[in-house]
Amino acid sequence: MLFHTPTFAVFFAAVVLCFAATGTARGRKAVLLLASCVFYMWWSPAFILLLLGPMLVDYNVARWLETATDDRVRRRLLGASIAVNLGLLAFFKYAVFLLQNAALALRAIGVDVDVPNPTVALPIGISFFTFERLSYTIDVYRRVTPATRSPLDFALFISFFPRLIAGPIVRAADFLPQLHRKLPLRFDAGIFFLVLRGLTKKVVFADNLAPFVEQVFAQPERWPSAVIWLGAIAFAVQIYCDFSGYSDVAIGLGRVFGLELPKNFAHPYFAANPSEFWRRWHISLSTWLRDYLYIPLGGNRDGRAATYRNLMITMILGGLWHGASWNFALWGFLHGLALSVHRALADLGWLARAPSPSRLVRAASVAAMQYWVLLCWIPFRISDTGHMWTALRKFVLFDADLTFSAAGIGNLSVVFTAALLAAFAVLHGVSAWRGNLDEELARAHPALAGAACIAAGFAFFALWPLTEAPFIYFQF
Amino acid sequence: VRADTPWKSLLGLGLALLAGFAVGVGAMPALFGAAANDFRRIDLLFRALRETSPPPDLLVFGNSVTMNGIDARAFEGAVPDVRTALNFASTGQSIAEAFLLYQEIPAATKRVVYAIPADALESNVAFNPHAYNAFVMYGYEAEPATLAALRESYAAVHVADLDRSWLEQRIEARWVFRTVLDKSMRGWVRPDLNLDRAFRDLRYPAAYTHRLPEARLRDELAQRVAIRPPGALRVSDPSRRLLAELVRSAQRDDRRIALALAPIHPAFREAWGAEFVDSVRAFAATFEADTRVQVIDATTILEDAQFVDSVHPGAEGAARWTRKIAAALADRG
Repeated sequence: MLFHTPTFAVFFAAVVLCFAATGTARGRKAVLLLASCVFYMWWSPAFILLLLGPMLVDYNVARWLETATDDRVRRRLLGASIAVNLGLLAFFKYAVFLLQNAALALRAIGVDVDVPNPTVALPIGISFFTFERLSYTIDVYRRVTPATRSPLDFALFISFFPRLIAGPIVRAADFLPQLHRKLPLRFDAGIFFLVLRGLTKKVVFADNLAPFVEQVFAQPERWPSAVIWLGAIAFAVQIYCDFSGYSDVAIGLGRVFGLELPKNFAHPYFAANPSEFWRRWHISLSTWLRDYLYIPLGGNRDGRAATYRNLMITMILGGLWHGASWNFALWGFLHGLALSVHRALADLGWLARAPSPSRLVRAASVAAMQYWVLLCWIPFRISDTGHMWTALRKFVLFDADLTFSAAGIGNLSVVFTAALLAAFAVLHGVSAWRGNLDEELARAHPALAGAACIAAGFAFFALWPLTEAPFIYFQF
Repeated sequence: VRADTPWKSLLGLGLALLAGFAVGVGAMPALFGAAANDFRRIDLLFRALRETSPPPDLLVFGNSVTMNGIDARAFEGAVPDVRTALNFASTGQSIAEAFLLYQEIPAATKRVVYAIPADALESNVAFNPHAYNAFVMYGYEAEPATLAALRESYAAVHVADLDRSWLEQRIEARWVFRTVLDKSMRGWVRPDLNLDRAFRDLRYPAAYTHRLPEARLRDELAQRVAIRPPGALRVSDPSRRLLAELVRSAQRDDRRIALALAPIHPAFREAWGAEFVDSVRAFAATFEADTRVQVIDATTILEDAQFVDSVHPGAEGAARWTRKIAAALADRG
């Protein structure tokens, strides 16, 4: 049940009607919880147990954590919660990967073992809701947030359907207090245009760039460097539009029920250095990794070497969070390397300390940072090692073959892709410069807002994907 | 529009969104007609069928191999009773597409040549993606008998396009927006091609006029040869059924039909083995004996130098293939 399908439209309309028809605060939350269960079961009915079962553990552990005073008991309770959550994540997401790599390692040292190769279905959204449950019990353990006494509130916190499958990753301290009132039903132009923005990103940009990206990276040896570059840029825009489009719709749908979800993106392709990039990209994950991994590892408290080590560990594990594959680890490693180098340069005092560097310096920094970001997207996108190295080689060592005839005469939509990227650059640039267009349109004259809607309606007609494409982050 | 927008304003925005969609649906036929795409030749063929007077005596159907490989002018005068001959091949034209066009042939046209490479008969697929949609968008309306024959010949999944309503066809036609920019720019990207000929030439619409550089040709051959495994020709059941239907239709209309098997690059013949060539000959003989339809097998007549790329004959190759067909048709009278 994807956000941009008629099925979801019918489902959402039904939820709104039930929500509106329910008069009590508790009843409205119950409607949302029931809707969330139906939404999840639409994907995989059996895994509803995986969503709801560990909730009982975490709900009770949090209650005990709040009342317990013995540190040893509290540590054991927290350990139990972490073990249950990470255990399930490890089993469903990493078991096969670990087994296969263990077998490879054993074979490398001459031990021939027969390792089973089971097929384990990945429960959709597991990486997201596992992190939310973990953050809850850790926050209660740290006494940052109180344990909720309402199982209904806790269940809704974990399962609220607009962000259940692909975030943003919500913190209990931000979400649970919003449930302490009767949830209002809201529709306004701001929500309308925010959802429209998200759908436009997904349907007009991400899904139309996807076929080009697939063709380029399925056989990178076929294409000259110029096409590999275009493929990398197209993937950068595709994944941004796909994921931030999902986040926009999720935030918009949350607001309909009076629930505010955290912002997940802030024009990441205008970042001028690695740490700024991670303050702009998948913000809810990067702050989670900072608060629950980097800082517990020691953060920057134990000297420079330990800081760089902690950055590398955090980013490599952050890479593996996306999937059980070494290409994600490499992606995390490369970003960790950039963060460490940037940190080292800052420690050495080699970076400009001026609070507002000149536009030229800023533009050069953005260009350098985005070169690295594009390079990193290649291992993220290509899991086949041979293809990955070929694409990376062609990306770094530009072959100067600008004859696009090598890319075929229409089978590879080079011009269409370039036009989409140009349109994205204009819209993205304007929204970074003037503020988000959806907010402008929500305040604009009705005639202008209506004209924008007609244009969006035509764009949807012309560019709606011919085949249904799920959101990329659903696989994580 | 304010943050506390009343419901009627939101309704207005929603209706504006739907209006944009409706504008697209309404304007689609005009937009499609103006958009560059590989099927624009279909529009030319329809206009030619309606406007050519007197009607052509001979029509040649087939795909881009036929477009590049047959100069229909050579049939005029060389084949008995043929004063006007037109090349009605189009890019990627399948047997099913040729069959769609068949119902449009004027009654006065008494000769049809269907010319394709033998391996194209192995396909189970009725249409190239979007082909039937393009036919409809250019004004085609299939007759019930045509629809019935296609439904009987192909699996339902391959002829699902036939069942779409006019609204669905208009919405489906949006694929053209994805291709229009690249198709418009092809002339600039590939100056070695003469692609515009496909959209104006009804005799010899050869677009591929320059031979590929040797290295590129070898790469292309290596890639394409690998697509089909070696072995004998395996004509698919849908192809057999639709060819039989084509023959029945021709007999019913008192029309003479010939099947011309196109030249295949020696690299393919070598890769697919002698078994392939032998099986093509066997198919030609059996088909001719069973249906009384003339089969002109040119699978092995061209050498490497007579191709411009891995599949399309060059000018010399086209002249040779055309002469062979003309001679064979003349022989039969």
